[in-house]
Amino acid sequence: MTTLEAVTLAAVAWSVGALAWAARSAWRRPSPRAAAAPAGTALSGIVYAFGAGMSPRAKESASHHPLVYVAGLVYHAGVLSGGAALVAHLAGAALPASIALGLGAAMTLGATAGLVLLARRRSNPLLQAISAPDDYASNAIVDAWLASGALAMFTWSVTPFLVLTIVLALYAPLGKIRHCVFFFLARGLFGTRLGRRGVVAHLHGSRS
Amino acid sequence: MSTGIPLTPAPAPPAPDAYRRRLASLEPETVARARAAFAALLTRDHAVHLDACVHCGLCTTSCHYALVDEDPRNSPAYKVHLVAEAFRQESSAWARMFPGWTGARPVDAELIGEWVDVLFGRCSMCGRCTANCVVGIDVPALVRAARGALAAAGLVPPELQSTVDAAVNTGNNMSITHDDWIGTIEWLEDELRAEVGDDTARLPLDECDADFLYVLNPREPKFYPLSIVAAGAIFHRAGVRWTLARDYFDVTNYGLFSGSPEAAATIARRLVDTTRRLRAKQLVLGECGHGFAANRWLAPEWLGEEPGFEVRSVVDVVADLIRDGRIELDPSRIPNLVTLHDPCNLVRNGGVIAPQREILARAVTQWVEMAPHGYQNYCCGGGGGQLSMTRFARRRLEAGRIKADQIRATGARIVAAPCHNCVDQLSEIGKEYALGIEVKTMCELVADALVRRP
Amino acid sequence: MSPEAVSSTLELNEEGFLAHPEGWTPDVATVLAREQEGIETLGDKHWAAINYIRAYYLEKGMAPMIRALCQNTGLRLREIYDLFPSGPAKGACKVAGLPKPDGCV
Ligand code: SF4
Ligand code: SF4
Repeated sequence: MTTLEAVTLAAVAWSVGALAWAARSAWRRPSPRAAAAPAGTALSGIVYAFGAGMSPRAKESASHHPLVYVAGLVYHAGVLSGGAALVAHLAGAALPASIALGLGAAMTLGATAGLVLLARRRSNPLLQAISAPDDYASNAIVDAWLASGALAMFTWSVTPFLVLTIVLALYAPLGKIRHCVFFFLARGLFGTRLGRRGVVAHLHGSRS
Repeated sequence: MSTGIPLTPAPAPPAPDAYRRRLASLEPETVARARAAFAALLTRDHAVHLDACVHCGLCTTSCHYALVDEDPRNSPAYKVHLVAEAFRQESSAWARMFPGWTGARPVDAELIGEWVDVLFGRCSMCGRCTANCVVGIDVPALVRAARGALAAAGLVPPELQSTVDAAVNTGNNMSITHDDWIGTIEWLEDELRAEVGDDTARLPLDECDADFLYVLNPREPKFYPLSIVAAGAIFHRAGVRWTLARDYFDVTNYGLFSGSPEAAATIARRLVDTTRRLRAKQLVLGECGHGFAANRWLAPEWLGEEPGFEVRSVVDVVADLIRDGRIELDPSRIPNLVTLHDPCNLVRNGGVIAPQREILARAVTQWVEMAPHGYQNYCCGGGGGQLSMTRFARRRLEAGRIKADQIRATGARIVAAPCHNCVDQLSEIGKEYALGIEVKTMCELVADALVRRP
Repeated sequence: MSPEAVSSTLELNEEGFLAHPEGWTPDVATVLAREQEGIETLGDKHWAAINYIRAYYLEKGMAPMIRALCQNTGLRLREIYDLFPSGPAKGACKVAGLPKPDGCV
């Protein structure tokens, strides 16, 4: 293992640890002691939240904004590809060329989608009003990381990829990239409430 | 015959009242109190949601405020943003170190001013944004937390605060005295007897061991008592054993809207205690959306204990009575086209979705759904305490245009609304947008459809 | 003052209630009824309701219960809603120059 790889691993470890710590701090905040008798199961709501509720037809954030929705999907597919490429590299697994090219393509598309979203953030008055430098930086770091990952897949030069992985891993717990963990917690709480209150049982045909 | 001379509109913005003047020069202690209260109010759910929002703004097109006015401050994303800024400052040393970079901001006089304008003045806490958010961010809960911080500092808009104070101090939100309440119920008992043509019909008060205690909205005894007569007629026909309470009869809980958990708990406690005192098997909540969310779902959280009896909406009870054949309805008595409004806190946030539809299927000749409806319904615009906050009434009526358009598109002449708060807003937008509609509660419709006895 | 003159000097809040309830006069009621409630002429029954609400408000500082209104004016319950299409709170009380009541109205 090279020094750079070792540092990368350390940075990833920091990232995982700090994100877990952030989640734990949030989770340890006070929470109500008692709850009303449920009208449905929390599980039914969680299943909905991560299942049918993710469909673009289930929420207007997707159906009203198809282009942004697709850009978001492509962006996050790129991130997953980047993660897979990173794991493969650190595990010392040699990727077949076809898979490497596929991951590289996904990361290229992901970086492009990221830039589209960045441009949107720069130009939309609402997003300007609610964005801090962290929002732009978080996006830019991921875009650069995806580009470096694509480069690694196409040219086998991994150094920029590892360097940017370190940057990303160090920064992730400090800003909005935290949502990579909090998304799942929040979605779970959303589903839990929907399930317990017996709303999920009625979620078909509410749109007509 | 109009004079053609318009009434002088209110100067905009209205002359600064004492509240505005207070906001303009906040004492440091007041700000400190709001800041401390905010930190103390944040729960696990708040923290998780605040860190999960990705500031994408895609919720904007789901909010009726944002749909009628593109001002960024109307977007749910902006509302979350205002709370998130203070949350970062409160929760993260890193964010405090680099506030400009991370977007952290202390609760200060300026932020408080924005909270009042945006979180009190531009949100009806309807949760439609939550339903359509990428993540499912509980925007109403975040808005309530910030409102609660302002409540702790005594900074709730006075028209809303006085409604909460009336409930806490007098036992109901319209300061109806004990004698007026009892006198009204006795007077209405005569109305009921005339209505159902049966001298044994009653509006029972404080009868122990009944099937349920029925609580209602104070605007019914104060101004709109026909809905009490309607409920009485239904229960009488069905032969259920029910009771009203002599002391605490108010289903509403404006603590939910001022954000004060203490006020909310004080008010919620009374209905729990009264149900126990009367040994009623169930607590049945009159037609009130937020009263349902408060008493059915949130009261145990505020009180730290489960009530130990069932809490239901009267809509659910009446649907049961119809299904079990305990009341007989003649839908031809209501020939006009009816549509149904879904109160956010009863439906999307409450889970009571099917019973009101069952009722309409049996009580009226023809009815149509609005589009969208159910879980995806639009707020009438009167929720979140908006109906009480005169200073924001213009915005409320403008935001009500979305609902008005929905209603107009159905062509219905009658709007059924299982919530008195919604009834009031719907009547107002009916007038504002010349919809030519009649707005009725479910109980009123069912009572109209009751088969008359020879 | 003619109704026209009254009309042009009235200051209303965002919901059409009088900004200054103390400035109410019967002429003001006529104008409010026409412009806010679409009631062209106030009849005896309207005036019975308005005068009772006004007197009660001046004494107690709040709107009367609908029961008191019915019992003291002899109006029947359902009649009130026919007389004032916006109902007792946003119709009758508004015309009688009361500020908006607390609660869900
Ligand atoms: S509340 Fe949801 S939709 Fe709105 S900005 Fe946050 S994550 Fe996006
Ligand atoms: S809760 Fe309703 S009013 Fe408030 S921001 Fe969300 S959609 Fe808009």
